[in-house]
Amino acid sequence: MASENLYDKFKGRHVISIRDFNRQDLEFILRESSKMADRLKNDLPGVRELLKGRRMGLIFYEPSTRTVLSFATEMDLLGGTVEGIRDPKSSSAAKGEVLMDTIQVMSGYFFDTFVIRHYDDGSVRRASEFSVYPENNPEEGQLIPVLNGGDGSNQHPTQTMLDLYTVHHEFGTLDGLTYLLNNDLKNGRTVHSLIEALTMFNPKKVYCCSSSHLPMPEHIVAECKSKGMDVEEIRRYEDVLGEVDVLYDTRPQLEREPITEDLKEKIRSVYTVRAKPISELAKREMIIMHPLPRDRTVNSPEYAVDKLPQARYFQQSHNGIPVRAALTCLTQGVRI
Amino acid sequence: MNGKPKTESRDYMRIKPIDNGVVIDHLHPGIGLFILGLLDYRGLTVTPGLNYTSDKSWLPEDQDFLRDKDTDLIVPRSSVSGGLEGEYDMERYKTVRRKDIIYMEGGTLTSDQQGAVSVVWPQSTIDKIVDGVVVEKLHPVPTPDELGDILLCSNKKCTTNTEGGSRRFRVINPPSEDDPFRVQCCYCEKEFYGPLVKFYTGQTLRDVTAGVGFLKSAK
Repeated sequence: MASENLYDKFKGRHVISIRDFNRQDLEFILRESSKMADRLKNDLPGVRELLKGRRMGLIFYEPSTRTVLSFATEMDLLGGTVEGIRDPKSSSAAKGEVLMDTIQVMSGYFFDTFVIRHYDDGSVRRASEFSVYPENNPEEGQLIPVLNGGDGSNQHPTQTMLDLYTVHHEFGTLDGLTYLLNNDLKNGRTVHSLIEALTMFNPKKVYCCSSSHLPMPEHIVAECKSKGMDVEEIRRYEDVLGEVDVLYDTRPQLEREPITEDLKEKIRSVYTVRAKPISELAKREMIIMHPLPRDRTVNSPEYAVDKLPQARYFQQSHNGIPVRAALTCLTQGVRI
Repeated sequence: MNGKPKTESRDYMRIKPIDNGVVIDHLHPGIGLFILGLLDYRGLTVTPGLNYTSDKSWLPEDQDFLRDKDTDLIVPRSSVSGGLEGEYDMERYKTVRRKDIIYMEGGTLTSDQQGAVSVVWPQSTIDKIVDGVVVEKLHPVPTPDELGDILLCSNKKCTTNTEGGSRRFRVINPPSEDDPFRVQCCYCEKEFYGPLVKFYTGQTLRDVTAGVGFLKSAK
């Protein structure tokens, strides 16, 4: 599909789940994000006015640092404004209002787009069904694009897109690479979405490294294999480090697991990404990613890894700006 | 002796064929009332028939069958995973062929209701009757690509359970002998396999059809 058609396809589109996109869509987003990064870095003419006069409604029912700030920042940089709910205790949610009602109310307040984070699985998809300009708007009946900032344990598509962008930015491709997903592969929604997105590309191999208590869910592994992906589950990341291009670390959400403290300590010990094996075994070109936050009680990757040439997790979080800016522009029908 | 002759009494008890409506036939004995519970038959004349003798077996003829010792149900050999007593005496079975049947006078089935029948017992037959003539016969009953409010999402954290609202499920695998029935909630995107699929009444397929062929083979 030509870019012209893709621009049309994205205008007024919701961004709810990575499953709603195909390879062509994702490659288009990566290209547009790259253009946006270039325009922002070089402060090219007009970039500060791309979203002038546009209003973004933030509806955050759960804590957020990177997601909420990167959306607010990109709107600010591109000339738009931001308003909304950042603390549910200060909104009608505290009085028992459901998200469906909140979005119907806010749809009449002349917002051009919404970013929603909510604790219920599927809540943002539901909200998007009610995100329509009502009778008081000249665009009555038109969709107001909703960008999913995370719905419970389900999806966080913009995180996945910035993860893909980070890999693509480093290697110029997502194909032919060896990926290692590490630690909590059971509870982390980012690794679920990432491996699902990778099925649309042609990775050389994907290693899933975790304790037997925190494995990648069986149905996800089965689905990846059925789509032809070479997936292998392993127990020690050091065993394969030499062949890995992308090491994607995650925070072990041990508070969710009914296991002994001794076992938790063992998991922390075995799966922490340490500087020594990275220095000794990993390729110089390998990159280490992490969705952050880094839990200080776990400290993985350990602080010494920050200084290694492979560390990319802070750049990864910075990539949230161009990727989310590109998505906002595309869904608003604004050319970058 | 006073009173009506026996033959008249029998005629009185016999079900009169319906002129317009739906007949759900060849249901496995024991699941007719469950199916009825899923249907919205307010305002309609409905007659459930339980354990009727059947002229025609609801079992496909080209398969071997076994008896599940837990449930006493007859299941296709190719679609069970264990817990069976051994080969069933088909000759004996043929002499006691039974089925459940539901007559709905004046009603039609929604796509969701037809889907529910197909999920619970796909080997059944749905006849649509207009002016006393069968104008449409569905056998086996096909499963639609999407099911709605007839199901509940089994994920307690799904917005359809916490905030309510309508429900939608994508059918990934319709019931078959080879693959377990699988649906995916269109909201929380979680997938559910045969026995865990829950109806809006709160009952799961396991509650009703534990041990029935393709359902038991679910992962």
